[in-house]
Amino acid sequence: MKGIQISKVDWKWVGIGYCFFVVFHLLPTFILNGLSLHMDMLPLGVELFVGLAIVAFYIGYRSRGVTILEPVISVLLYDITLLFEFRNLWGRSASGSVWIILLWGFLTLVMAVCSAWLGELFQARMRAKA
Amino acid sequence: MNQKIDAEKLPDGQQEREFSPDFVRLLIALTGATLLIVFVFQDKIILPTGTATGQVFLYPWITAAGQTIANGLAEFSGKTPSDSIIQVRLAVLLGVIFGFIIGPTLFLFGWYQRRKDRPFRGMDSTLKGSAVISVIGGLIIFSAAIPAIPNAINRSQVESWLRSSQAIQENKDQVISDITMIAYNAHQYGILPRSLNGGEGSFAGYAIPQALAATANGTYKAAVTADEITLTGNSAKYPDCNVTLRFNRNGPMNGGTWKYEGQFQ
Repeated sequence: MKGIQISKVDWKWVGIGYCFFVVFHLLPTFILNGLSLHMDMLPLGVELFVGLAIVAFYIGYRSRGVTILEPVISVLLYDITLLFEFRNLWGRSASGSVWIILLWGFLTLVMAVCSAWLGELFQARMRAKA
Repeated sequence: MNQKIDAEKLPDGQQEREFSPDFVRLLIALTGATLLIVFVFQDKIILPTGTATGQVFLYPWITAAGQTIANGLAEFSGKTPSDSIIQVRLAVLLGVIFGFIIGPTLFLFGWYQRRKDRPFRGMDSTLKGSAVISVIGGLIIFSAAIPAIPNAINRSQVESWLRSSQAIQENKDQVISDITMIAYNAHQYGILPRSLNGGEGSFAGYAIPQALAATANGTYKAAVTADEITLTGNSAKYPDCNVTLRFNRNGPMNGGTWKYEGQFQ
């Protein structure tokens, strides 16, 4: 359609976003938990979702232009990375549960979209004020 | 629908970069190091990970309190308190170093660097390595400090709750002690012959001696039948709290049943 361009993915922000998730999310989780990823489900779940939301929001806010797809792809890559540590992350009770992995992946993607969108809104508001 | 906004132009016409080279280098290096530590070396780290000590890594005061309680329990059970194991000491040391030295240092260093650059940059200024450093430092400080806030708020409440609980438990122990004394007195009455003011195999006629019927701890009543006696102690300090002991001619130590009411439960 005329006037509508297909959005190009800014791969630079995908890479930076993935690094953000690892450095500002995985690393603090690892340090805070005593250099380990063995945690109880509830605090870990809260920590993971809040952390992911903050990082996705920041990417949306800080990047130039509309970058919603980029943090989503970053979260997807990050989820794949976490799959290798899934057994440790969720403890013995839920290890190996495919449904929990799928639910977790879905929720993180939804949250990344929402957070990045909120970040974009915030960025737009800040620009309007400026 | 692409709403990409062109990067702001620098005065000389060059496009301003979103990230400085040091930012990208530092971020990639930290990402690689994190992935390496988490996925390769996690199980080789000396700290007692997965244990209570490991989980309170950033809160050395909790580890220290745990060690103090363990020492107290050891003393209480007649054992010599052992020196804390090397991993616990290491965990406490690393917790102090991370929470109180590395975290604030990184944060302040990063903050200082960012502040130096601020006058020349707007909202879309280039992301620099100092931002990464200050955020990591801030995260460590934030994580170490946050649990201290609810602890500080709850401290007086917990302290008062502990004192109240201890007072109730102390009074409960005193009432139990008084009832035990009365129970032995009643048992003695039951086994003594009538010639020695006993019941000769029966509790019938037993009355609590006046000195034992009311003490500073509580007041006591006895419901007596020939074969069974029920002693009820009502706390003097906590009137809604009662202790009841029921036993037969075998005595309180053989089949006596205790019941607690109110806050004594």
